[in-house]
Amino acid sequence: MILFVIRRLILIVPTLLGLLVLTFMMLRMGAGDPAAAIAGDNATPEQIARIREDLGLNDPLVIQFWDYLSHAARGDFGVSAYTNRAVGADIALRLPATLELTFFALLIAAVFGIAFGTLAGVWRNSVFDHVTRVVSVAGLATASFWFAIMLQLIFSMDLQVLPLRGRLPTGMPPPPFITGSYVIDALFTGRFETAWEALRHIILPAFTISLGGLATVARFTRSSVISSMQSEFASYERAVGYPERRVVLPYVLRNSLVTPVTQIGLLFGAFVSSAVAVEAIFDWPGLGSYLVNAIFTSDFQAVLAVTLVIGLVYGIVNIVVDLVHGLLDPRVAERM
Amino acid sequence: MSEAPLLEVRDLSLSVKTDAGPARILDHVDFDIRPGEIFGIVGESGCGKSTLAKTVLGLPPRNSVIDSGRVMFRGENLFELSRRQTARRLRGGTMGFIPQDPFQSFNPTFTIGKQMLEILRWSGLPEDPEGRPFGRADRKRHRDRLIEVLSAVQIPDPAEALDRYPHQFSGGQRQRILIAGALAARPGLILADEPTTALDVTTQMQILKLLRDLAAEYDVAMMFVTHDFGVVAQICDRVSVMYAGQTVETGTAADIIDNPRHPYTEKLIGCHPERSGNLVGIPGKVSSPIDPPMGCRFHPRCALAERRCSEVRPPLEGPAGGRRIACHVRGAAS
Ligand SMILES: Nc1ncnc2c1ncn2[C@@H]1O[C@H](COP(=O)(O)OP(=O)(O)O)[C@@H](O)[C@H]1O
Ligand SMILES: [Mg+2]
Repeated sequence: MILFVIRRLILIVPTLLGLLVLTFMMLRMGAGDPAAAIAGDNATPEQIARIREDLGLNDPLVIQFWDYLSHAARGDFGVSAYTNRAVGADIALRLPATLELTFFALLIAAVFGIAFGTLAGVWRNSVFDHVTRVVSVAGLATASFWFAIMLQLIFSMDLQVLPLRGRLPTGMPPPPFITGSYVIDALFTGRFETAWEALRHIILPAFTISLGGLATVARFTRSSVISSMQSEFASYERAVGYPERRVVLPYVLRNSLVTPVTQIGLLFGAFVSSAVAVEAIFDWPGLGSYLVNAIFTSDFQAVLAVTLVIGLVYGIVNIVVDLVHGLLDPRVAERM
Repeated sequence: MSEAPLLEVRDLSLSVKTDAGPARILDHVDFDIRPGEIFGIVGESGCGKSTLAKTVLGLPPRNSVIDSGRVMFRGENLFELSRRQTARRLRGGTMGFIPQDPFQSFNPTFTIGKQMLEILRWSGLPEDPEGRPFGRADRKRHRDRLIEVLSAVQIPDPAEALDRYPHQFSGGQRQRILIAGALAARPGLILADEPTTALDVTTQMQILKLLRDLAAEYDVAMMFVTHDFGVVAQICDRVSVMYAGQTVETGTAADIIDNPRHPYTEKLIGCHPERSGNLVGIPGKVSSPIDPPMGCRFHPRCALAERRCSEVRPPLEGPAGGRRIACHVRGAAS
């Protein structure tokens, strides 16, 4: 088990390296000049040329890449052309906000997706099933920015039950840093008022991000519940006297979770990319808005570092998914 | 013979609704099983054996209707019990079930012990022979009982086996564990649906011997479903031969094997079944239950068929509990 985790963690390294090479090439070969971005709008061509020289942008790509890599390995991701601060510090500031948001979204997608999918599978062809299906098709088809604005209009403007933007009300101090999630950190330190406010703030953006994923998880759960309900083992369980609710919970359900759990792992990537738009709408101080700015301003150091961090988290999430598989299925655990 | 039957299946007919209309899967099926006997239900694949077994267990197929007849177990009409009672009192407690496929019938993600404990937990059996109640909460006693039946089916180190997962056992061992599951709640009757079909021949022989020994040792009756007369010869006391949902011949196994009278029984004994239960020796297929042939359902495949065979359905004739046959040509009346 531990060996499995170590092996998988080691395997992340070449993946990240590949990701980095790809991003590096795309940035260097695409439009946009980082030197010009750093120099600013009023710079003379000579100034830009000097910055190019200083940054080593005239060196061969391989040297440049090696240069970046050797710095990055020591935790030095360069200076952001946009914020003028160390990229590492910028990310450390913003990453927790994005992670809190995407993990809440994953939690919503997992809990509700699995619950709705299971009920729809058990009550196949019932009204509940049909309604769930229509809603999930709608959920998949809905553009998240539109949905976000609708939620804001209804819950923040009209009903005024949930806040419009940000992570906390203005003036409320964030809780001390433990995990980086305001909700969890506030709970840990006994600031229930803060935890409650943080929770209220995260609901709308997290729900917006989770929508498509929730629908996907519900559909995968439904079809795997249906096939488990018709399986030989379910028919045996009924024949030897298990009551139907017992057949479903836990026996059918545990077998049906493998596919949706894989989906949840894959969804993380989609959630991060949808967070980019959603963070802007809800004024969520995460990596999304940082990344957008970085791309628009040719802030290459920032783009590279964010890509690297997201790639790393994605890799870790998928190791966790595999561990959950092992928990669900002893045959998988044996191969770990 | 004077003994009251344990299970009486009387004139049982069952249809399922299909897109093409109702399909009569069981048609006037009629037989008795006496306490302690091993009763075979024999017939090709698709002739309704599994449906019969599931209906006796109180689990008729979805969308099915009972058109006629009844199933009596220890004098109680199964169809008059509520679903709940059927489940608790009959299925779990007094009828055991051995499925066909030891590879697919276990839930792969739970231990053997957890799955077998459920059988005892939901069985309505009120007490064990010493008169102690099978308390629902009393997991320890249930566990002891499981260890007992696992030893009875010769699983090595039964206590440890309870904590293992299905995939850690071979097919033969899994079938033994399923047999132990059927015995666990001390049933009066075990329904076995082709319990050896999925196994290789050597394992099949061992399992059959085990079943025969256990049935005698625990004094349990068995309804043994198979498509293979070779298996019947090894284990059954009496048999009922089914064709396309109908009983065509019934009697003692020895008598029928030595002296088959219905043309279908004759063919069934004379040919070699494949694993699938399709019979190589008999040309044609079991007729579709949606649009069955008029008269005797076997007549399109029968070498002896006469005109009346395609017009009038032959009744099952003979003394109750004795040799009975449904055939115009070979029947008692002819
Ligand atoms: N739920 C169902 N709906 C429609 N047809 C069914 C259903 N269950 C069984 N059948 C049909 O009933 C017949 C008997 O099936 P089965 O009892 O499985 O036969 P056997 O066990 O003898 O192979 C087959 O023709 C099968 O297609
Ligand atoms: Mg069958």
